[in-house]
Amino acid sequence: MQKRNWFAPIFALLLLGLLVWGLGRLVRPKYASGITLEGSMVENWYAHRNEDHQVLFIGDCEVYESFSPVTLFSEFGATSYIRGSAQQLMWQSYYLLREALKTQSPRAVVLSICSLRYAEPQSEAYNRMTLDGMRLGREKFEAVRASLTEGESELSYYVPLLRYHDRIFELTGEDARYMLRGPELTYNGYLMRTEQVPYTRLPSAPVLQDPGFGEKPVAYLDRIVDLCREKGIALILVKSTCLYPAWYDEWDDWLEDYAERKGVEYINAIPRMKEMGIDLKTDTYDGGIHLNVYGAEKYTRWLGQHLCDRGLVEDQRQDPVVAARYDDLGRRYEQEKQRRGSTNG
Amino acid sequence: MTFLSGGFLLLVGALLIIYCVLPKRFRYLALLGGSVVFYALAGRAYLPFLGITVLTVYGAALLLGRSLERQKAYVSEHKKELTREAVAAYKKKEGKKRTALFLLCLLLNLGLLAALKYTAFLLDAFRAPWEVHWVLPLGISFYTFQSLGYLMDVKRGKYPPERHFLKYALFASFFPQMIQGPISRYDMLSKTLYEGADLDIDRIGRGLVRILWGACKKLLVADRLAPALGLLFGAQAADYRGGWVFLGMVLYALRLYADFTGGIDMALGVGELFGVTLPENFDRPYLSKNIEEYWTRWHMTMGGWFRDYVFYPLNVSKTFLKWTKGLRTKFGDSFLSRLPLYTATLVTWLATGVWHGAGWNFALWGLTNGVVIIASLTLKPLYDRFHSRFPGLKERKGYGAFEVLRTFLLMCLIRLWDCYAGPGGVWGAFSSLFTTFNGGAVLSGLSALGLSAGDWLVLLVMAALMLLVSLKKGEGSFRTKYLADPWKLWFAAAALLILVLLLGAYGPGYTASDFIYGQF
Repeated sequence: MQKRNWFAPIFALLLLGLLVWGLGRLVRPKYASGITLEGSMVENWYAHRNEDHQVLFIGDCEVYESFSPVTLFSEFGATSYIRGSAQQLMWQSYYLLREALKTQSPRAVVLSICSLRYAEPQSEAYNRMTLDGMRLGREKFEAVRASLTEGESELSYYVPLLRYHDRIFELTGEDARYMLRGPELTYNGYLMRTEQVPYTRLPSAPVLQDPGFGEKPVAYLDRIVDLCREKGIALILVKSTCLYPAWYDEWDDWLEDYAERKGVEYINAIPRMKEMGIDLKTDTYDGGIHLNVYGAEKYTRWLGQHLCDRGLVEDQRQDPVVAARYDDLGRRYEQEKQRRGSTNG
Repeated sequence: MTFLSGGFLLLVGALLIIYCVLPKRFRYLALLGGSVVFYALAGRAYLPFLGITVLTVYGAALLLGRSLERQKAYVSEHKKELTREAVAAYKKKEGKKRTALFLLCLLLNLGLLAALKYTAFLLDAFRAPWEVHWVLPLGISFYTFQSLGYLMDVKRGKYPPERHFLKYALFASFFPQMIQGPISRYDMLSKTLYEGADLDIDRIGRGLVRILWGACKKLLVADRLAPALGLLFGAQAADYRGGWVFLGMVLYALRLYADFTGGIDMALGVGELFGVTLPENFDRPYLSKNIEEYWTRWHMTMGGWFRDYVFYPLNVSKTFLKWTKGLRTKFGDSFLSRLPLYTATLVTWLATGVWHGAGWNFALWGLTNGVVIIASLTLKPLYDRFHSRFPGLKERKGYGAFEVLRTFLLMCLIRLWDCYAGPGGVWGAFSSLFTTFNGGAVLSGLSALGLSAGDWLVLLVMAALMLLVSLKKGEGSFRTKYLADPWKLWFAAAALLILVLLLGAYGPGYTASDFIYGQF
């Protein structure tokens, strides 16, 4: 009798756990359509974490909309993946990189330093798009701790049902379709944009109050530098071509100095746009803020050559397994580019 | 700290483990420790006030008990040598001493309660040039009344005082009842409070089911309705008249029931986890057929307290008995001869209203209840005559349903005092029910309340579920009747938790509402 009494609660507890997990998967946003597609990108990584990537791109929109792994492979035979998400803060980049390095041994890490400007977490919405997709583990735990904004519930990052339960009356077919596996909308982390909206004029940049960066993002940048050094990975800090909201000379000077001190490379792409062949009349999808696929391919070609010159990548186009994988990816990529390109036209 | 805060859940979980690990005879100490931690977490500034009540009532009860024992011993020792008159004189003398001590303790504790709860209101009411912002300890009305009830019982010799200080402190401060009651009686609570219950997984399951059912009521119904009611009764209340008032008072009745019974379910459920039986506070009140019955089924422990410690002592006091006798001689069995009874009723209800809060509305709410009860008592002969003419009517189900509905609506109307500020607001809302009732406008404007179709669905299903549980449980406990099998019990717990997590009104987008009765 006593034995039976214990069976019931244990079984109910297991069922409860399963339901909480399943319902959490059902109600969490899938970011499969609409304007915020970036929320599913972090989760997509886990399907590719056991593939070998020579280059890992880490950061915000300045990487996931600026570099095309398909172009990098087709032109240079270099495999790569972008672990990026919207407004990915420096500490989030650190934890995503640390997690990625558990299964990866890349030759180079290309890190967007744009988010150095953010000394503190900015908003729950952006946090969610980066952290919700992370798998449970020490990295997620520490990333959540570092990212919480005021009033956010930490527990709800591990039990999504607590945060998204009120979506129960807003569910659509997408929620059921992508319940167990989120939509894969990227090409090895690259979010393709094909629209062409020429650069005309951007709002003028506000006056810089403090020429330095916040303590917290710099501390995490230090940790990224140390991590890469410890693993023997070449770290390249990049400021992509985005002109908005601003990139100040003081910040550029600070990074030049920092890179020199730490023995890493820093590339500011803004003054090199001409060299890359980027034309802001045709290569941006939002009037000069972000690159479209045509601009991203040019930028990738430039960076690929640079990586080759530094001896950081190896041509793997003759490797049948890798080539097959990239053939599939490239086909999908080209089809989508053609489809969207013709729609835009 | 409320039942639904993470801190409370952690405290209960940790305490349950400690409770089960400790030897039986020390388990009450775990509950006392938990109560102190709970109260300190709720507000460290509250602790001294609770301490004053515990110490003074414990000490006074001990002295009263000793005095009664001494008196008993003296009388039995000198039985042979004392005349009846001498015994009476001795008892009177000792009784006076006890009364003085009792009044001192009563005044101290009621004074403390009154000072903390009503000073700011009175200063404001009499437009005094000062303002005070004193702390109002959590549950002060509940623990003060529980303690004073104990003191009165000891004075009456109903039971001897608790000599063990820590045990008494636990009785006065047992944490589940600190948020919104119930108001326990020592002779009932002490039966299970100190015994140290065995680890019984099914009892824990029953406790959990009760806690989760309470959480369902609170989070699925009460908190879901809070923003809509805030709109109907808030700053823009004058825009919502007629049918809106009707809708508001019905929704308020639903919210109040879900909020208060939900909180009590959680308190009783937490008690049950530790094998402690707290008194029931509700017995399906919305199924009452008249207001008197309603008040024996709603907030039963408070009603019982006022009945036993205010109404009866007043009604059978020498002054009132003398007054009744005089009026009977003069007016026979007429309405006027019942004036003392009506006075006692009104005083009791005024005190009940004032106990609920510092504000004229609460006093007027109490008096309205008293007046309606007096009216129903006075009209009883008429009512009886009507039923003697139609003898089978009372037994008919349709008539029963009419009585239930009538009582429900009557209580809704009385609660308008809860909803609107001042007599002007109440009168304006009440009169609009008869002058500008525009049901069509309410139906077409329902979306303005901010409740989605999903919200309405949850409310309707939960209201139906609450009614079903009330009807099914009858006189006993629903869990004992339908969830006796451990598999059913634990699956019910899991299902209720899923309901709370999935459909509860919590998290971003909702305003966390404290329990309504927590403010008393």
